[in-house]
Amino acid sequence: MIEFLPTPEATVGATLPKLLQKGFFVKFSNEWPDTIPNLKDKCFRIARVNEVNHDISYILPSGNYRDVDLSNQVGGVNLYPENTRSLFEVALGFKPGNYQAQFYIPAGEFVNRLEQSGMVPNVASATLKYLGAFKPEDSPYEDKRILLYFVKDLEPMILRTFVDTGCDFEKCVFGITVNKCYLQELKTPTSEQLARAKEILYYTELRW
Amino acid sequence: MPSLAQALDAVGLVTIFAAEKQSAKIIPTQIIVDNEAGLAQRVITIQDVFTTAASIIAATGVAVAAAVTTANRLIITVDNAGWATIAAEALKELEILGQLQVVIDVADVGTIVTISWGFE
Repeated sequence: MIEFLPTPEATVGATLPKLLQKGFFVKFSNEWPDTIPNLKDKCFRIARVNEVNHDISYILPSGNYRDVDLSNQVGGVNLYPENTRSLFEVALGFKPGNYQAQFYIPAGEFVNRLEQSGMVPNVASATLKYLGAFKPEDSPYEDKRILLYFVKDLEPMILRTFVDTGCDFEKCVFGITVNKCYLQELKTPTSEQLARAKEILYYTELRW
Repeated sequence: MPSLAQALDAVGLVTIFAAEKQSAKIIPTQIIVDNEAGLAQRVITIQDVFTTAASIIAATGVAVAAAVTTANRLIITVDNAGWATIAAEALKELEILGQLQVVIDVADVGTIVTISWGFE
C-alpha cells in the first residue's frame, strides 16, 4: 500500500531492483475488501511492466498547504489504474525545498500516526506539524524511496503538501515514476511462489 | 546552461530572460550588469513571477485562491559608466520559482544585463 525504503546501511553482493519487474510475484493480503474485486488473498505473476515518468509541481505560500488527490477523481492527478489487471507501483520523490508531505487515505484519515491520543499529523500545530511528515531529503527526486501501490477503485490517497515557515513561497516538485504492472493470476501458486511474492497490504493494516 | 544578454530598453521597463520551467526552479549562476554606455546610474531588480496554486492557510483553515505573484529577489545599483558582476558563489541561494525577469528604473539602451542560469 505504502512503503518507505530507508537508506541502506551497507550493500553486500548483488542488489535487487527497487521496482517490481516482469516475472516477479505479488500477493494481496486477505484484508483487501470485496468491493475491490479479484484481489483479496490472491497471488499474481507480473506479466509485463512499463515505467512512466511524470512530474507535478505547486507553488505555495509559506504556512499554507494543499491536498493533492492522487486518484482519478475529479480534481485528482489521475495516478490510479483504470484496468482491473493493472497494479501501479508509484515511486515518489521530492526536489529540495522547505516543504513536507503527509499521507491520508481516505481523505481525513492519517496513514502515519502514533498511539497516544492526539498524536496525529496537524499542520496547524507548532508541535505536531512534523509528525508523520516526509521531507524532501527523506525521498530525493533522484533516489525515490516512497513506494505507493494503487489498483482500480482503491479509495483516494491524499498527499498533504505543506510549506513550512521561514520562506515566502516554495515550489514543491514531486518526481513520480509509475511502474505499470500487468497482473496474471496464479490460480494455484506453489509454496515457493508464495514465499517469493511481495505482499501488498491494504491500508487498514497500516493502522492499529 | 542557458545565457542571455539584453539591453534594458523595454518600454514597460520589464525584460524577460526565462519563462518558468514547471518542474524546476531557475538558479542564476552569473549576473553581469554593464552600464558603461548607460546615461545615468541605474537600479536593476531581478524579479520572480509565478502563479501560486490554490491552497489553505494552515493556521486558520481559510482557503486562498491561485494568484499571480511578483517577488523582488535582488536589487543592484550600478553607477554610470560602471559594471557589476555577481558570480555563482554569491548567487547560490538565489532561487527563481517562476519566470525570471529584470526591471530597470529607467529604460536605457546603454544598460546591458547578461544572465546565465541553470535548473534545480
